[in-house]
Formats: sequence, C-alpha cells, structure tokens
Amino acid sequence: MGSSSFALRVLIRRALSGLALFLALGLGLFYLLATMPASGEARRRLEDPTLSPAEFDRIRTLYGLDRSVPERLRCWLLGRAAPDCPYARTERGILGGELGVSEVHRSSVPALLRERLPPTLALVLPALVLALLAGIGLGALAAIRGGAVAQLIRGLGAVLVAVPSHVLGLSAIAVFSLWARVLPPGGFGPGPTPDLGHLVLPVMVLSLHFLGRYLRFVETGLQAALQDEHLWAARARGLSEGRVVWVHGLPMVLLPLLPLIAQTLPTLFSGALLVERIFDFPGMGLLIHESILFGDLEVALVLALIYAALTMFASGLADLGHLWLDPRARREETT
Amino acid sequence: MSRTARIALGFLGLLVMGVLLLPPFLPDPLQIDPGDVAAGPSPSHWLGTDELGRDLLARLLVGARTTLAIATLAALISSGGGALLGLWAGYQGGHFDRAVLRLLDLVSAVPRLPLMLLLASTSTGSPFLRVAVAMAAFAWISEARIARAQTRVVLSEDYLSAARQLGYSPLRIAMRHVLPNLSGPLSVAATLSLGELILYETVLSFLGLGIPPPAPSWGAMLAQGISGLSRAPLLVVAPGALIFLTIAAIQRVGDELALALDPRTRNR
Repeated sequence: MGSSSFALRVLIRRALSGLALFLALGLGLFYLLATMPASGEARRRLEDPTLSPAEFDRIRTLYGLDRSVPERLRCWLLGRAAPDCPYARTERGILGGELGVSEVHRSSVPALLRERLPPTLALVLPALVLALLAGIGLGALAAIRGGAVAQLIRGLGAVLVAVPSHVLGLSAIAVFSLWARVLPPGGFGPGPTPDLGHLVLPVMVLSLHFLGRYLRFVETGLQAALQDEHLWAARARGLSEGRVVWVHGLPMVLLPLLPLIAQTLPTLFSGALLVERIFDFPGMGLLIHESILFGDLEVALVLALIYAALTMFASGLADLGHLWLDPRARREETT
Repeated sequence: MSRTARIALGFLGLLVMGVLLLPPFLPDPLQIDPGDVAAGPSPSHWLGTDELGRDLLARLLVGARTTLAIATLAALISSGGGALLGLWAGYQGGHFDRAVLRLLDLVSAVPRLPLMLLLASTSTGSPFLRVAVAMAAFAWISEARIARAQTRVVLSEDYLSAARQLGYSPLRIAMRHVLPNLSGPLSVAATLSLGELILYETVLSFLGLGIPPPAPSWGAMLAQGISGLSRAPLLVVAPGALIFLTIAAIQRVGDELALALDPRTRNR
C-alpha cells in the first residue's frame, strides 16, 4: 500500500466522522437553543412593555416562536422555500447552502467570514510560528546547557503554561499601552486589516502559553534523545557537540512535535477568541462572542461550527504531516 | 515533596480557609457605597473598594467560593462521567471501544470555548448548574482516555482472570477490581482538570456568560476593572493574581501527585 493512498483513506475516514460529529453537534445545539423562550431581536421586540397581547402574539408568529422545536429545525434546514416555513430567515435554508444572516451586523454569514477570517488567521498563524520557534530554541538551549540556565528556562515554562490569557492580556495592556505607551491597547488601526503595531500584543499574548508547552516538550524530549546511542556514535566520530545536538538530536524531537501541535491547535483557536475579546480585535472569535451576547444564537451556532471545522482541518493537516513523515505512526493508525 | 509543591499546597489551604472563615467578619460584598468609591486599603476595607464602593476583599473571597464550587462540581461531573465511559469502553472492547475512541479524538479536536459559550447561553435554569454543565460537557476527554487505557492494562492481569473464573459478574469486576486500579492516574487527571475548569470558569464570567451580576466572580471582576485600570489598578491586579496563583498552584500539585504516584520514581 502506497503512503499517498493510505493518507487519502485516513483523510476520508476523518472527514466522514468529522461530518457526523458536526451533524450531531449542530442538531443537538440547535435543539437546546430552540427550547429557549426567545432570544436576540425577537426577545428585544417582545420585551417592549407597551405591546398589546395581539401584537405580542403576532411577533411570536413572525419569528416562529409558537412552533414546535422539530418544526423550527426543519425550517432552519430547508428555508422559506419549504412548505409552512414563512418565519425562516433564509430562502433556501442551511441545506440549500444559505448559512444565515446576522442580526448584529445585517450581513450574510459568507460575507462576514470573508471579513473576519483573515484577521483571525493573521493572529493565530504568527502566534503558532512564534511559539514553535521560541519553544524549540529555548527548549534546546535548556537541554544543552543544563544547570542554572535549564532551571531558569524550566521555571519560565511552568509560569507561561499557568498564566491565563485574560490575566496576561490585561497585564500587557497595562504595561505596554497605559504605562509605557508604546503599543495600542486594541483594535485594528485605520485599515480593514490589522497593521503590525496592532498585531504585536495579541500575537504575543496568544503565543506565550503555547511557547511554554512546546518548550517543556522539546526540553524533556531532547534530554532523552541526547543519551541515544547513535548520538554517542556521532560524538565518538569526533563531531562537535553543537553539530550533534542541532543536526542529529533535534530532528528526533521535531517529529513527535507534530502530533503535539495537532493536539494544541483546538486550544490555540479557543484562546484566539479570548484574545480577540481582550484586544477588541475584530476576528472570528469576537464575531462569535458578539453574536452570542446579542442573542443571535442561530448565527452564532453556524459560526462556531465553521470555526470548529477550520480547527479540525488545521489539526488534521498536522496529523497527516506526521503520518506522512513517520512510518511508525502509520502502523499505529492502521491497527 | 518539593518545596514549590509545599508552597502551592500551603497557598491553596490558605485560600480555602479564607473562603470558608473570613467572609462573616468582612463587609457585605453586595453593599454599594457611593461615598467610598475605588478607595485604597483602609481599616474598614482591608483591600479598598471597587467602582461601586463594594468591599474588594469580601468580593474576592465570595467570588472564590463561586468559582471553586462551580469548578469542583464540573470536575466531579466530567471526571466521573469520563472515567465511567472509559472504563466501560476499555472493558467492553470491540466496536464500542473503537467508537468511543473515535468520539474522543473528534471531541478533542474541536475548540471548546465557542461551543461552551453557546451552551452556557442556552438554558434558563439555575445559573450555577448551567455554567458547571457547559464546562463539564467538554472536559471529560482526558479522564475517559486514561481510564480506557488503564483498564486495558488491568484486564490482562492474572488476578482479573482469577476474578472471572470465580464467576464474578462483569459489573462487580469492573467496580471492585478494575476501578480501584484507576484511582491513581485518575486523581492526577482530575486535579489537572480542576485547574483547567477554574480557568474556564473565570473565562466564562470574564466574557459575561458566567454567574450573573451582582454576585461577585473573579472573571467578571477582571472584566469590570479594565475600564479603571490606570486609576485603580488593584481592582484588576487582585483578581488577576488570584486566578494565576490558584491555577499555577493546582497545576503544581497535580504534577507532584503524578510524580508521587509513578512507581518508577517512588524510591527517589
């Protein structure tokens, strides 16, 4: 069996089971959300105290709140085109490919995605790269030098892993924006996409926790790897210690780093939501949070599922990379 | 036990004692005082007051009670549920086991926070239970994984085949002979989960989806303090420091527990 057909089979299996999970999550959450009395725009209109009972009933009918949950689910999926669904928000429904219209922003979900997805990627990708580079560098340094340097780096790792993003984010704003006044406390700057100055703090705050985790992983892995027999053989051949570590030791640690990246990506995307809120950074996370706070739960649900799919896709890529590079992992996956 | 672990345990002990014993001696955490807003420490308010003149120390301690209670409840639900599911899957084996394993992989590949926020915004019942359930719904993964793996190990032991040949029912074998062998690794996982759940509780309340105001909670205090960060930094620093220290201390205790329960390091 070739490795490419194998990768394809893994990919198909994952995509199918991922689809099943999304179906279950989507239907389950929609059911829970629909059992709420009212939310979002409907709730705001119903809360008007001057409303007459007849108008109250009219608004409830307008938003489909007098229908049963399964009926509303059907109309959410099929849209106004389906019989008996005048209250559905879109013409063709989710199954017809219409993902909904946001009550908060008065624009369609695809348009919002085009606007909000790029900033989130501009936040998450640099944070991941930064955490990886610094984590590998510091972890390797600790493993090579040992002693006080290693102690210091290990302590730093423990602190970084434990410090929560909201605490770290507020501290960063306090120090760099209010006290030193060198970086903006949030937002985007003038343009439609974030400029460098507005990216520095969010990227740093998001990356530090993961820097701590990668650092720990590289340090312990490299320490064990440095005692490996083939490295002693390399030393016996007279190679310098630097060459032994960087050329022969480090690659042994980098391969198992791939599944760790796949594992930590969901947390990274979760963290991005929080960081976007702290820095008022208009990406996907802030959009989901705004929609939930406003009560536009139908759109928040669709957005959260798209966000989850994106995360699964990214960590699937890291896993596939690992399967492709490491034949041992391939054997495990088949059993 | 290492020195840092001892300090961590001491801190957690002090926190729990403070939460249990101090509030009766402090001002009411909900008492608003417009004449004494954002004041510094004084004899009547040991840590000063917040933007509405409420006693900061009392709010921190009562907020700690909420956070710790919700996180503990969520940890009990998720660790118990996860351990039972893992035990069942590991014991059963076959198709069911494979299905559970696939489910674990899938759920752990999903970013928790957005879904947790949605779940926390749904039910209209008791806010305490609502937040705990929303957090627990995504927190059972590591316990299930550990219980499943450990069950597979225990199943191959001789004393288990002896128990089978004695004709014990599967339920009795699972509960009396397998479960006790899971307690070590599970207690480590549950401790680490507790730390994570405390973090998520403060995040949920920071994002406005925790226990509704005016009840104090660390996350909400952090969020409210932002606006006055330059005027009254203590309103942000105090809850922030407590969140960080509590999570760090629990992580440290969990790591130490893992070391102490690992037979390979027992004699060191």
